[in-house]
Amino acid sequence: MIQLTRVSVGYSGELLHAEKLELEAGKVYALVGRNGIGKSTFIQTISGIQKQLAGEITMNGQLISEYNPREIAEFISLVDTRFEGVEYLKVKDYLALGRAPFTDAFGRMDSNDWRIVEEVASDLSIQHLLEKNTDQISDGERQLCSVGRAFVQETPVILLDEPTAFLDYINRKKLLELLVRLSREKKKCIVLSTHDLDLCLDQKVPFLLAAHGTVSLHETLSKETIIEAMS
Amino acid sequence: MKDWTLKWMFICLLCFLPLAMYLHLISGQIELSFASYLDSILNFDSKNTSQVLVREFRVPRLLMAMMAGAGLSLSGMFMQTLFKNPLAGPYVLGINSGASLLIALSLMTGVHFFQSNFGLIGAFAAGLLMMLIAQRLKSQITLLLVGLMFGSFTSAIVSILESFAGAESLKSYTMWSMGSLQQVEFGQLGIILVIFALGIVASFLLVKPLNMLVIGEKSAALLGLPIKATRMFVLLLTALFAGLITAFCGPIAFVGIAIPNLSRILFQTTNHRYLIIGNILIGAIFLLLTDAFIQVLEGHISIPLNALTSIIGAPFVVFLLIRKLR
Amino acid sequence: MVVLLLCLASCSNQEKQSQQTKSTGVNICRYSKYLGVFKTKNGYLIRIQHPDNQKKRFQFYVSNAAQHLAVLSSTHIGMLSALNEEKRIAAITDIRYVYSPLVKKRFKQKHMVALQNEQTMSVDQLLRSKSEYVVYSAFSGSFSQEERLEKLGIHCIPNFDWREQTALGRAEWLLLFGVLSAKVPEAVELFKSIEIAYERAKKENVNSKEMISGNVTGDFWYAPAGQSFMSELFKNSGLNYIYHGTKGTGSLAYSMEKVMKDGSNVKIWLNPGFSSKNEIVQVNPKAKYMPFFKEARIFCYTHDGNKFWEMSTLRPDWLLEDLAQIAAGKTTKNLHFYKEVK
Repeated sequence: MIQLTRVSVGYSGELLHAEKLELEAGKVYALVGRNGIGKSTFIQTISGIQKQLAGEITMNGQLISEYNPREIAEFISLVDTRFEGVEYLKVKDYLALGRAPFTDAFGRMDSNDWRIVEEVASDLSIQHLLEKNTDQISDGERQLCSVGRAFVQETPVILLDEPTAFLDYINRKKLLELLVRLSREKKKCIVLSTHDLDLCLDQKVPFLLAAHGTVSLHETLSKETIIEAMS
Repeated sequence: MKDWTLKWMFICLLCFLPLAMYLHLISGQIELSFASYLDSILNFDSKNTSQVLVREFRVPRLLMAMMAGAGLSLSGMFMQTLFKNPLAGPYVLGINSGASLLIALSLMTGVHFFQSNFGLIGAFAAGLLMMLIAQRLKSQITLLLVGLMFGSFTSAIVSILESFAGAESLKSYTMWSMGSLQQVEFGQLGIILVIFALGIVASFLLVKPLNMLVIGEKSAALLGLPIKATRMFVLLLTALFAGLITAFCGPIAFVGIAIPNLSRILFQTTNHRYLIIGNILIGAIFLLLTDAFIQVLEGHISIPLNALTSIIGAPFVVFLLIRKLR
Repeated sequence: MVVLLLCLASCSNQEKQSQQTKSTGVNICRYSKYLGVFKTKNGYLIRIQHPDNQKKRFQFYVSNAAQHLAVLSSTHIGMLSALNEEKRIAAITDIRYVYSPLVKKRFKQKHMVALQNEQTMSVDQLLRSKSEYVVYSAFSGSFSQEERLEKLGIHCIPNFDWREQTALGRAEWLLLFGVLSAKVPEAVELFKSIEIAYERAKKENVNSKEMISGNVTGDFWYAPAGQSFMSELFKNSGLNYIYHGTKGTGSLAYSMEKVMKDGSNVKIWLNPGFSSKNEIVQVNPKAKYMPFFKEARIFCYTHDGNKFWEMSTLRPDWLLEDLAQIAAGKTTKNLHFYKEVK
């Protein structure tokens, strides 16, 4: 689905380099690495919101830079984990924004759009939050809503930047399980940066290891290798 | 807020608007018969003082009150959503500074004639400048800073002009900066109304982009919103309204900051479909009532428009600040 | 240290003065409410009462003519030129507002400095002018430089001619300048002739067509209130001023609507602030809807504003003569200050 060729990621100087990466449908990739190594930057570069310093990123064979924003939004969604809530913005309307790439010029939602919102809410067990204001729920609840908004977008590729920071253990486990199930059932390509090594190992997901200036793909990885790479 | 509660609120506002218009018309110092009003539009007789009064004084003042109230509230709303800041106002990007500068130049060099035209040119030039700059900028904060700098810069130049100006020009400029709804002539209303109407229609095209901007520029971009184009369009409309009103009424304080906040608090929504209509109605009603109050007091004290909007607006903004800090 | 010395110096000066300032007790001023001039052994004692603060009084003694004077208002120039004493003027505020040809000539010849404005004037410039006295008007309430200048030995004289409520009271401040230029007998003589001319020009009855004064600034029409100085002047010239019956001594601020209604029969419009109808409309396009815009004869002094501001305080007789002529509806060439606005 997404191919990276000699991609250099960073702001003014290179943070990470990916020689050749192929991210496939139906998989959940766990992006791991030390804090500050550039995992967020890497994810933002794939999403198109941050330009890469060098190299090519293609979406189904075509360069991302050649798509317009709406086309990209129909293909890739990025979960915004720093969402602080907006006064008077209800959770259901926030989730509904995920349908923006598909609604008309005035943003009108049809019954199908609302059905998707309700399904996602139920998948994430946040139906009870739908009528609440996004600035009046807890950080953990808000984080789940951010994830939900990306799910509502129904994109083939979903990127998540440390989506479990505010979640308790049960919810972290549930989210990861949900992501894995989603990728298998709906053939999605999911990339998430995370520190929950044990949970990822349990799920036997492939790893994207960010260490020593490069991002490399490993189908399986042992915990010791990861820890060693990170030190 | 339930949808039907919102709808009821709109209906109330819609009913209140004609009432406010009526109050505004009758608050003038002179008693006029209903016939005068009708005749002034249908059978205008330029010799009849009452009819002249209605046509050349009351109608322009009424319409300007409504358009200024609505226009400033809308442009304030645009700025507040774009910058995600409830204290932003229509003047935050220095658009009215452009108008002020040219008006100051025209007044201090004694060329009175095309005053409102100068103001328009100044405002649009400033708006254009801002749009060109916005095109090259990535960061929103930089845009805001540039706007503030532009505002300060033009204020400085105006100060210099003031120090060279004679007493009369100085007074004229000071009067202009107090805001006035009475400077517009009947003949100018046509073009103003057309521009205003175009602006309103265009505003509705921004409903979706504004609703998306509520969660931040980055997230909106990820949802497919073309950020640069959207910013430009928002700036264009803000310049249109703020520039139009500043050119014909001078700078009117606080309306653009207070009313959009009031609308959000009243309707408890971030959906701009409702906020646009709400701001138009509440803005128009507010300025109609404020100006009606000024008219009622005209026999006893003469209050400049900005004084009254500030007296009402400033405490409200303080209340907003306190609310935000809580 | 220097300040201390200066203080001591001025203290001892005052002692010397008090010996010589025993006056004869008769105030030569008869109309002025705030100015008092008393003859003493070797000169004159000037006593000026502050109009607002009962306790504040300025008092000083003048025995010699002032060689250099700084005058901060047009009326001061007018009075000095009436006494032919322009040569004593060493500093003015702004050359743009001067009428007196001799003052303008002397300014060009660099015999005087310009101080720009009363509030922010440059003390250095003032020192260069070697002025011994500064005559100021305190339009904004107080003269900020007063203390500093007194410390430097420059006497500051407040001129409250503009606060006087009577025309002759205002003109009588001529006597102050008479004292400063050692021409008191001439000043008294001149004032007497003005007084006679003024009384002669007064009219018994108000019998002109309806008259309005003033113009729109911003959103409001400003006109003199019924008990103001201008309103009195109008009455004395026989003008039927429509707002003569209103209360207050300052300005009225009316809406244009009210003026439109009140002015429906006005046939004389004074002091619109411009010298042509074109200019009036340029600044306020709605002026053309006033019933008196077309119907009335309009008069103003702005065609030669400097002359008006410089001379009208001293010559209320001229002002009254002008207004009486306008009131009588006669042909109006050769007015002192006014000209018909077309």
